[in-house]
Amino acid sequence: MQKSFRFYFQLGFTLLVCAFLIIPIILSMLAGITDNFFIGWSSGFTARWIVQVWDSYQVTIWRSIAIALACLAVTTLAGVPLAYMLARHNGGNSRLARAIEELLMMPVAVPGLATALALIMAYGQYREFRGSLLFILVGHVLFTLPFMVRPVLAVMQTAQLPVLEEAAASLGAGPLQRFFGIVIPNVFSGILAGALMVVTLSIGEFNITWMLHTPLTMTLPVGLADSYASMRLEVGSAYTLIFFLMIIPLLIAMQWVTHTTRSRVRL
Amino acid sequence: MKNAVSIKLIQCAKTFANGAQALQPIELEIRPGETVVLLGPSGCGKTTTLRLIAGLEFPDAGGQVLFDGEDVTDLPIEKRGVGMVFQNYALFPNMTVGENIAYGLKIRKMPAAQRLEKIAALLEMVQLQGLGQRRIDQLSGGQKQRVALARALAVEPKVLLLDEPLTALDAKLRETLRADLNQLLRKLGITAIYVTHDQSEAMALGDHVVVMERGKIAQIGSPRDIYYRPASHFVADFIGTMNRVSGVAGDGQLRFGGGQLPCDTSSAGLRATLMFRPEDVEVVADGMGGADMQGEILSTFFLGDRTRLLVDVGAEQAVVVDSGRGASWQVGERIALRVPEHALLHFPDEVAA
Repeated sequence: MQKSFRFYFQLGFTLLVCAFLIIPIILSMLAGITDNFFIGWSSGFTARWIVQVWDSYQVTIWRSIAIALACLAVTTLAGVPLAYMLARHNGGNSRLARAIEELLMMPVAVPGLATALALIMAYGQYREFRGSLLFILVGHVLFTLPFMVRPVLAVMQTAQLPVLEEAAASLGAGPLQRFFGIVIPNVFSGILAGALMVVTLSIGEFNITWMLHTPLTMTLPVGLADSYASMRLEVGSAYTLIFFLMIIPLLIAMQWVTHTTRSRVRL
Repeated sequence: MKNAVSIKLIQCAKTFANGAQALQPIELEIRPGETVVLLGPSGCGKTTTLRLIAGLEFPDAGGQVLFDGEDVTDLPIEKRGVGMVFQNYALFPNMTVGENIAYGLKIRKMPAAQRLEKIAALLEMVQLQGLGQRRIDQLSGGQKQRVALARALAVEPKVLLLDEPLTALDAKLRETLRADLNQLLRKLGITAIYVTHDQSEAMALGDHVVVMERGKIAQIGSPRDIYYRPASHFVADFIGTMNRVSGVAGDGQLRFGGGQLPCDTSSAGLRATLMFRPEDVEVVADGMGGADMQGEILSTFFLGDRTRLLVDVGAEQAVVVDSGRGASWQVGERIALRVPEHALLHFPDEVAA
């Protein structure tokens, strides 16, 4: 009796917390398919807001996906070799490597607006670049790079890489064969975890992008702010709904990858 | 097996980037097909020596590594044709057992059909038939090390290098694997260098044992030489159990509290130290003459095939004595001991008395 009371109490509390987190989101998503939010659900449900968003903001969605993928490509190509060098510099016991790792976190700690301002001051005079998607990409890479480097570095530090590489070398493998045949496959779980993080963060990035964007380089979250500011609440909510449909599969994938990585027995 | 390779180290020293000198200039010659064990306490430079031969480290300027008379000093490990087995196995976790063994063959672009044949042959050689598809994390420690051995031998290396390959295994397994390894090395006739800090491993496996101490070679010799004719205090102490008795020398005798032992008189009137092995001490029955020393038993350890006694003979250290089965001893009993003269080792004391 006592035990079941405690069980139901805990269950109730957990559900309450979940409700606290989820209800506003559900309300917002529902608002996106409500005919008139001010009247309420009694006004009926409709898909027209979604269609409207799709018509007027579709391009920002594709743009966000494109930037996220480009960002992923850049952070992978730069981040994995960087993590490798940090892990191997001075036998993996380097103060310089740790300092660089900390410095990489700076754009995460500094408010996005400040980073964006710094970027504008540094590159603003190059009009072409300033107005192009590349400029947004630079901001995103700056922000997401540590989220690629850190998990890869963590896996590298636990995976006995130096001795695995020595073993491969003793079998005749040159530096490139070792990097692609031994290093990459053995840190792949780290790369995957980093990749999902980078894509998720890039798609949702607002602060930096908001400062950097021009009407022609608007991304999804900036478009969201734009629609909330300038259109009916239902339109903004429908936009949120679309955003969620994009981001939730990513979040689930991220959980799944972290789980499978953790349960994998390491050498 | 094809012709085995000889190895020669000439004036090989190693100083690390932080200034620590791991190895004083050493000279070492290894004959084709022999198994040489580098033995010593941690930090003695044995692993550094192995890594110099492997090509994982390079000697300080002036040092040379020769394989069959050919200078390989500047060749990195991937070009030296050495097989290596590591203490913690270093198997590739992203590959199966078979893929691990085939890695070196793949690098050498051996056709797939031939590779499969070779994997099967190697698995049989290390007694792991049929485990080619296993994942690495499904193997026990002993199996892992067998796979590592097969992987190293797959590429038919000129030299096999083993860096404490049995240290991570438990005692029982260590013994079986040691016996298998011994057989395999004899059968293959490959030049092998084996690093260990375990003297019984060194004795069992080595054609020659190189005892190292603080970056220098203390002695090179057969296991027998090293055991019965140690070249220094250090070697005598490091290999097996060794008794040490110190006293004042004179008239061809070394005198101490509980008796005397024969000792040459060149050091008459000075302090000297004699050493001898526990199994060389004979217990003299009551009333019989010819005892060299008398003492009181401090403790007894029954070891099954023998009883080990710790006897206070009035020297600085108690003497360890192995007595045969038959007798049973009590702590506190008095005992008379004799050491045959041929079993005594005399080293000049490091410090004058």
